[in-house]
Amino acid sequence: MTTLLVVHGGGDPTAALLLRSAERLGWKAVEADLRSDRFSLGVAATTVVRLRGRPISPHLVVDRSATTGLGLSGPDALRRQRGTAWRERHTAAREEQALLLAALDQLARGGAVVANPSTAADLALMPNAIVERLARTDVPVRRAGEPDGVEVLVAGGRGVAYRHHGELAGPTPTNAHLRDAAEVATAAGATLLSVSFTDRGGRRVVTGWDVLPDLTSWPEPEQCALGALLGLVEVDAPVLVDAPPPFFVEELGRPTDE
Amino acid sequence: MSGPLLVLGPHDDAQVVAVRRAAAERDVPVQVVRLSETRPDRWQWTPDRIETSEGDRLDEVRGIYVRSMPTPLPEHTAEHVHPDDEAVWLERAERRRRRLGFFKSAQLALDERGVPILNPVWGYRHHRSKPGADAELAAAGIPVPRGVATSDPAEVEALLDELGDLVYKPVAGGGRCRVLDPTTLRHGRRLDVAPVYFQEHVPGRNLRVYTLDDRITAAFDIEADDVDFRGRETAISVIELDDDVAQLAIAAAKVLGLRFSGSDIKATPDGRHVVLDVNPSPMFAGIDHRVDGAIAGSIVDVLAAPR
Repeated sequence: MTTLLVVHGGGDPTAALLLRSAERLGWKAVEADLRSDRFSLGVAATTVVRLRGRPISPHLVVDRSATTGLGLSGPDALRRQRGTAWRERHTAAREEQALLLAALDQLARGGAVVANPSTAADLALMPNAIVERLARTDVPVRRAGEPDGVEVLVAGGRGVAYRHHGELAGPTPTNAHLRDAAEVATAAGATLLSVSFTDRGGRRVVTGWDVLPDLTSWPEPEQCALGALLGLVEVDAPVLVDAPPPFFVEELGRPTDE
Repeated sequence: MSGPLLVLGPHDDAQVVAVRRAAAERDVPVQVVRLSETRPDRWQWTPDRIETSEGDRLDEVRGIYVRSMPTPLPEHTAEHVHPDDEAVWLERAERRRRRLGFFKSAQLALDERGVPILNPVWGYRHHRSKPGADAELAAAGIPVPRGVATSDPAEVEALLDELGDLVYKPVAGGGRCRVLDPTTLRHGRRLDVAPVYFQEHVPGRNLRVYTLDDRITAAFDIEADDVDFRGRETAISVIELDDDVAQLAIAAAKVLGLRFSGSDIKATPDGRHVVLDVNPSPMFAGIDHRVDGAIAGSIVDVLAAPR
């Protein structure tokens, strides 16, 4: 049975959506709410990750915690620490993030597909470096541009959903959007992200990317979540850049219960 | 490339001073950029140019020594954060984090443009997670102490029962390693506030080994009366390493993505060598005179070498 682990810091509707979607797929859905759940890491010749005291080895991890290796904790991590003394909260957040980083990297090392790898969270804090990487491709980027065109949801190197001016579109705007989105995913080190474009005047330009996409803001969010989960577990499959990609989950032959 | 060597770190840091001195001895110009004072919003960043607000052309440097990036905690006006001040405190922390990210992106961009850097951005990741580094090393077959990073006193008790003697240190590093007094585990509530990294107490001689790419630049045997010898040294000797220990130190640095490292290795009474720590930005200035400045000199030689 495919096991999905979703790591989040609380108040994350996308995390809840992904967990429900996994259950619809008949998967085992495991939640790690960092406000109350604790990981541990036993280091030895065989290193073991534990959650709530029990070993865990999921097939797929969706990390919504934005844990990075850059050395300073983000607002969510700081917010959930106990007490009011600011130095102690920083220290506790730093220690929590260091353990999370180790646990997530170990799960990836153990064969889990992690969306996104912790290096993607690092890169999310280094957008200039991502723009530099994209400058070496032929993907035009204007980060201050208004996203008034296509938005692609990429999972496992393939587009799994698209919206055009806010409306879900299909089967695909253009394969050029897919190719550009795949380049952005590579530059950002991410396996699950949304990439937005402006298509004004026939010019396709990347205006931004989000490695923590809010799937609940997409039309038919559950379809998008299902597509994302399936796209991630099939990450080793060839990326379908030149063919119309799958869109609704029904097209993948998975039955729904409606 | 004939530009200057870029040194990132506090101007009065002993390691920064040592590298500047070694560069001067080799007629290599040095540029020191004070990241704590520069204005990222006034940098010019194009495919041809990365220029600081002070006019320093980072794209023209021949190599970069990263002693440290500024990561001071954002100060708050009072010791405790009142709920009404929470949003301001968080916003200030996030601005500080994004500022660090900006400097890291410059470091990564220059690395990917081919500028030699000690050390690359990715080499610092495991420095912020000691169990993460140890797990990476263990997976590569490098001997490390057994340990557990946890908030659960029961897991610590289990390891203590098995090994009989433990030390502990911060998960994110930056603090001293101490011998565990088992009575402190009764304060389990403190563990729940933040995890701690507990490890087997490995006996033996302390070796400090400096590596640069595929070679050892210096190695020392350090005696101390404390489990954490740093700052508590009672005797220091320059040593020659056996080839297997040298290869162990070089391999450990490579596994963690480091070109330059200072590793702490235990030489146990039964002949094993166990890697305790691999530091991407080690202190060396206080010890380098024992090897005639070989560590600082090798840093300059590698970064200033013709490309």
